[in-house]
Amino acid sequence: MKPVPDTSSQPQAALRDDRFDYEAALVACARGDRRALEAIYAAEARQLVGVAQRIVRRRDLANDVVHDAFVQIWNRAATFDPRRGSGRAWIYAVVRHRALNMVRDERFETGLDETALAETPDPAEPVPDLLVRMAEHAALRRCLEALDEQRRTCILLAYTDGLSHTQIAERLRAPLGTVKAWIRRGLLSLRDCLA
Amino acid sequence: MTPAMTPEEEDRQALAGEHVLGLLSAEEVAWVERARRRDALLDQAITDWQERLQPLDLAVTPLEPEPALWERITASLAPPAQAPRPVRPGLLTRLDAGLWSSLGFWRAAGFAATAAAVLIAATTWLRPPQPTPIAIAVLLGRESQAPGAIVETFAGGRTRLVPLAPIDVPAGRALQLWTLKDPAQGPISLGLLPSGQGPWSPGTLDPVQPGQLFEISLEPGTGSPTGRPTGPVLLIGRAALPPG
Repeated sequence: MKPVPDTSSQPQAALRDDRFDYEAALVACARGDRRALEAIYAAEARQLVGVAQRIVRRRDLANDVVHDAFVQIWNRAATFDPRRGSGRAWIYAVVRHRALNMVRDERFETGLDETALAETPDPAEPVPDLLVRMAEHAALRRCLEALDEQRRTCILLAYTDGLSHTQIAERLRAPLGTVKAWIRRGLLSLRDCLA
Repeated sequence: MTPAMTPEEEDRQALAGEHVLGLLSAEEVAWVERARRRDALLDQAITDWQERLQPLDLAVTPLEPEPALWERITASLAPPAQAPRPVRPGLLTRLDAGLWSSLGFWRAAGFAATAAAVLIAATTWLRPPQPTPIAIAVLLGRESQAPGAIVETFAGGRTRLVPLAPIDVPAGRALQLWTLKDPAQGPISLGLLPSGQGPWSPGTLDPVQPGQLFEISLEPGTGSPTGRPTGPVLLIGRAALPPG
C-alpha cells in the first residue's frame, strides 16, 4: 500500500526523488489555482509531448493530445485520489488515454487491412533503447529485462508505441493468439516480479 | 516468492494490465471504465499498473511543445468562477417534492384517494412524454424459453434493459449484457448489470439492426476477462423494429 501523501502541508514529501509535488499541485488545481496547472505544464509538458508523439506519430496531433489532456486534468483534478496512486502517474494516464483514443479507432480499422498495416511507420527508436535510458537499478527495468525477449518487446510496443495486438503480431511476424498469450504471461510475470 | 494469484486475480491483473497497455478496443475501454467505478479491486489493479509502467514514459525522448500550446490550453479552460459547482435540483425534482408534501397534507385531511389520483395525473403531466422505442429485443431463458428481460433502444441510441423475472446470480459472479451486430467483429460488451433487478441503462448504442442479437451471460464478478462472453448464456433474443 502506498503511504498517504500529506497534501495539506508543504509540498515536498520525503522519500521522493522528484522535487515537484504532483499531488499538491492536483489538489490546488481542484481548488481552481491556475498556477498549479501551469507548474505541472512547466515540469512535464516536454515529456508528455514526447509520450504522445510516440503513440500518435504526428507532432500536431501530439500537441493536440497534450492540450486536451491539460483541459481534462484541470476539469477532473478533484477526482484524483492520492490514497490510490501517485499524482504523476495519474497525469500521464490522462495523456496516454487521450493519445490512445486518438489512434484507437483508426488502429482497429487498419487492423483488418493488410495494406494499411504494412504502412504503419516504424517507431521513432527501437524499444530496447528505452530500457537503457531507465536507471539501472530501477525495478521496472530489472523486471522487464528478466522477461523473455518476445514478451518484453510486445509489452513495450503496446505501451510506448500504442500498437494493437494485431499490429504487434504483424511487426513480430507471430500469430495473433501467440502475441496475446505472450502479453498476458508477460504482464503476470511482471506483476510477480514487481510485487 | 509471492503467493500464487487466484485465477480470478490473474484475470483481473491481465485485464487491468492490457487496459493500461492500451490494448483494449474502444468498447472494452468504455466497459472497463464503467466497471471500475463499481469494482474497487479492478480500479486499484488499473491504478497499480499505471504506477508500475509509468517509469517507461520517463524514458521516452522529450519533445518541445509548440510555442503557443500553453496559451491554447488556458484559452480552453473554464473560468475559475465556473469551476465545478453542485448540481441544483431541476424544476421537475422540486415540483415532485412539492407534490409529495401536498400528499401528506391531503392524506391528513382524509382525501388520500383523491390526492393519489391528482398526484398520478400531475406527475403524468409533468413527466416528459415517454419515448417510443425504435427497437425491442425480448430475451428468453436459454433453458426455460420464458421471457426474462427486454432490451429497448430509443432514438439517439439510448438503451434500457428491463428485467422481467429475477435472475439468480451466484456470489462473486455478475451478469454481462452483450450485443452481436457483425459476426466478423464479434460480440460487444454493453456492461455488467447492476446487482438490483430494476431497469438499467447501459448507455447509448449505434442504430440497432433488425435481428441484432442480445444476450446476457454469467461472468466472473469483474466481468468477462477476455472481452468476449466466457460463461453460460442465460438469456438471449433478437431485436425487432416496430413498424412506423
